[in-house]
Amino acid sequence: MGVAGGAVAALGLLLAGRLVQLQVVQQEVFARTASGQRYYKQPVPARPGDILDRSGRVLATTVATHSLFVVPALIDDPHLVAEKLAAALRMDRQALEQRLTSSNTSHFLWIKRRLSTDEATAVRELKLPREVWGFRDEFRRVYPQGLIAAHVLGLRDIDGVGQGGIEESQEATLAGKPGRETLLRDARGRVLEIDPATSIPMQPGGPVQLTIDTVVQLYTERVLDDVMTQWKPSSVCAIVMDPRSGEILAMASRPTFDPNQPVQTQEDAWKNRAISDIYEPGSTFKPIIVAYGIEQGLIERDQVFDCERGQYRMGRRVLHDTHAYGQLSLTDILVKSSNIGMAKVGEALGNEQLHAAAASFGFGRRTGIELSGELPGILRPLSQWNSYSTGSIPMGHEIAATPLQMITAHAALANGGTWRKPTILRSLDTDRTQVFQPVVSEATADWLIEGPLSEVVARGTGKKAQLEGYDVFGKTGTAQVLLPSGGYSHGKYVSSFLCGAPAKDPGAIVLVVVNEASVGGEAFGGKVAAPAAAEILKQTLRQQQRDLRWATRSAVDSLRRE
Amino acid sequence: MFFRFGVAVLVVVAVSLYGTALESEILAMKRQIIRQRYRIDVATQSLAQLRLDVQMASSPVHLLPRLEQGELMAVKPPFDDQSVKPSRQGTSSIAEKPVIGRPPIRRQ
Repeated sequence: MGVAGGAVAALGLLLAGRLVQLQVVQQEVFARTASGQRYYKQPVPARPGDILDRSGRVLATTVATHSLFVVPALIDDPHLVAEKLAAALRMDRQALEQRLTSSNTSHFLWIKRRLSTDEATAVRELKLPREVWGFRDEFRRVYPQGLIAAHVLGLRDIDGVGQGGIEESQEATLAGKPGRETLLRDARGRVLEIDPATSIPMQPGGPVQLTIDTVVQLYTERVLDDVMTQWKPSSVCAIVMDPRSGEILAMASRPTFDPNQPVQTQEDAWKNRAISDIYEPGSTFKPIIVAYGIEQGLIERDQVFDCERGQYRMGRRVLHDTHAYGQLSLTDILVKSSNIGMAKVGEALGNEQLHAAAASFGFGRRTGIELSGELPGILRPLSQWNSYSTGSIPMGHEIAATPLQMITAHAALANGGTWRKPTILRSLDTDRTQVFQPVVSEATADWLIEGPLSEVVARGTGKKAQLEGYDVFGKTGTAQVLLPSGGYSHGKYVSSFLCGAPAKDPGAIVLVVVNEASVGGEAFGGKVAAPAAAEILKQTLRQQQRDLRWATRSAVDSLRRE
Repeated sequence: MFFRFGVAVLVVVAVSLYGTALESEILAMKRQIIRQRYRIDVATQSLAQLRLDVQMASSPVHLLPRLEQGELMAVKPPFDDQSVKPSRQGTSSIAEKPVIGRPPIRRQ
């Protein structure tokens, strides 16, 4: 009896001790474990903001989609599941089965992320055991305009992080702030409720409005496609800018990619050549030097230069013109694009002023446009220049610029002499500051635009850019391609053309750069790039004036035909 | 004494019942909040999808070829401030006349 009583007392003490251990000593641990089993905190991804064009058209938006995962540890027959899922999602069955088998102890495996509506329906209709699969909501970035402005927009990777273009540069605005929600679950893991008190809602990303005009962009891309077909170059790019504000209306490159199908992209198609390709600008650089020389009083507008009948010795070097010119005025030097005439202009300025001219028009430094991957170009320090530079720089050699730098420099001439930082963001904030710098006087800029550069199109190398009803100004450029080993490649050219209209108060300027056209003989800028630039300019002016007569006329014609 | 005890018990029971009712109401409201949030999510997603569909359907990429082929007719909206700009050629077209009396966009 005494022994039994002692045993009962010992058992009681043991139980009491265990109780104290559970309720007092380990109370916090068990309470935390129980809470962890009941409550589950999960992140709520933020919805990235939309990208809009200048009229409010959506260039990039976000929709919610399902992503499919499975629990391989609970799959009894991986072969059957792989077969069904592969058929529903058009995937490789063997590869899928291999993945399921190799992860057979895992409790989570993505099968396919961001399914289309049809794919999600197809998966539901498979009626797989509920515990082995599930959907998780994720956002999918969609570009409703297709290939339009792909390089400007960039894209978002599988984890929703912006890569390239506006998606990358404006990540802080677009990304938003992820939230967090606390789920109360039952013993089987089913969600009973979402605790509103401890949940933090996500903050969606803000919209970003661009200066891009989708219609102008579309025409630009079409023209570039035509150039690719006609001249078969290795690459081509174009920029359309409003010189008065520095706003980019269109920016396109070829080859390009489809942001909705980025997997199929070729390696060389990612590059936004308008900001990350550098080239020797050639003759398109000549007006910059002339403007600066006039402004500094080193040359006169009506000055005449002897172009030496097509051959001129500068030190150890002999310069040539394509034709043997005699006495040429400053206007004719630009109209006929005389290299000897420009070399003499270079001699009048000297290396120091030539360097100052290039630097003041923004060469050798990034323009500061709101896009990632912009290159600064190459403007060597003055100390590295020599007597060759005096002849080369005025012709647009020994200097490398991005197409954006070129068009920004010419925009300074077109807007009355002020270099403005190009911008691609249309700010709703009227107090936004824009960097600008007067580089030449209005009189000098207007003389160049309404005089020599208009003459280039009227009777010079840019005749193919004439447009009915508009006073077009422009400048051709043809430069040999620089070889990586040094020196120039014979027979390979970078052809460019820069034009704008109307000559009085230009509303738009266009630059087209064609890299290594491979058919059609010598690829002069006036032959290869000028017609393309003129077509883009025509469509831009039509769009700026909301001129819809062409569309109504064709509709009336079709009605009459009926 | 029994009366006082009875009243005290009744008060306690009443307070408990009221507390339970309040708790139940709070739970119901919580559920409603969650449901409303879910509905907002669904509506937002639906709005985004519909907006996407509209943008795709009205994209210049799709409309421009049809305009060029004469399948659609362009009409200047009367509220477009820039439409008052005179044309350079000085010719008039139906694009510059009032919208009234003219068919809007015609689809074949």
